[in-house]
Amino acid sequence: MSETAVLKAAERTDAGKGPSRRLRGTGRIPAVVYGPEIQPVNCSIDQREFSAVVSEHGRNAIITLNVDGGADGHSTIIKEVQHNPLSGQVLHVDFHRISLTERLVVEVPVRSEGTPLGVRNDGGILEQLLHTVEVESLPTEIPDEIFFDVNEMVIGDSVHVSDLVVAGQAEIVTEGDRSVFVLVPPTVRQEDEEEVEELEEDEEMQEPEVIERGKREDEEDEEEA
Amino acid sequence: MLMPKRVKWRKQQRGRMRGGAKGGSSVAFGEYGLQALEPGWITSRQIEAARIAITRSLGRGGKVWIRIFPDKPVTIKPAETRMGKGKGSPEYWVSVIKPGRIMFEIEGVERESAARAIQLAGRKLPIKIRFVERGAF
Repeated sequence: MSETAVLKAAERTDAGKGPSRRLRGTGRIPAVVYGPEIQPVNCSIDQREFSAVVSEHGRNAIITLNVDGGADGHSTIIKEVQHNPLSGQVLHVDFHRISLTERLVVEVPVRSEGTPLGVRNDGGILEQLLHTVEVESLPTEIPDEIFFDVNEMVIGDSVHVSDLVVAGQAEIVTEGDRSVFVLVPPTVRQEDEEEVEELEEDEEMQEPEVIERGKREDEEDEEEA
Repeated sequence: MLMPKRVKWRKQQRGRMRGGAKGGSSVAFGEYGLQALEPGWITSRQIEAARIAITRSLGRGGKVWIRIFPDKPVTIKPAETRMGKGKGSPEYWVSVIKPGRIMFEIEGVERESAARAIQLAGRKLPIKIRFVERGAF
């Protein structure tokens, strides 16, 4: 179930690329709070505090955001986190203001538990086709993760969204017929020699067909020759 | 080897490789991935060599995704040719890679096996790479 954390935020007036970069240089992250019945508020949060909250309480935690030390903070959830793909640095965070008494839809990760029978005995491959499902629940009942025991799966078995179980009043919104896990037979690798032969065959590159221009270019080549 | 079936133009200009990857920078299909840390042109042969390295390393298990496609033709002038007389003829195909790009993904194997396969594949590529996991960021 989702936990509650408190995070301090400071309102920011300067928006845009330059001010945001300068802000990141000081160890803070630009963020925004939005939701029903409030105007969006641009703010900034401390990078270390944010990382600590996410690692301790999880991605679906309810975060009480106190902007500029206000007494009554916004109850929010993290809607989106933007990262630098190379350094992993958090670039921007979206907080969505929520009502604690209204149900909302969030994405919850699905994880497998155990090693399937088909993998242990027959060398099958467990494929996970869906990594998250949409769950509708009260903010206080959002599960952190949904686990599914795959120990009994044999080759050819598949697990659908309808097979997943969530605790409490939470309800899965994603279509029930979508596959989550499939246990497929092991891939039969072609002989190495075939691969090498294939590489040698491709030694001379064949040119692809040129759309429309093809004829004219051929003519040009002939002229050049 | 990978190359387009049909193209609109036979030859392309070389272009520049400034900045980072604009997309395809997170693991989307599998559980583990090979991420580029430098920009570069990856030829269809290098992609194929890396793919073979991964499949050989994984043995019978695992599923592999190739997230890049060589859609840029590279031309070369014949040897001992004087300058001028137009651009050379297309010789091979490359994929333009920028830092952050996920090039291969793997699923269905243990973390250690995946990491070893990715490192071996990286040896076939002309750029620095790293092993990444889904949801690392």
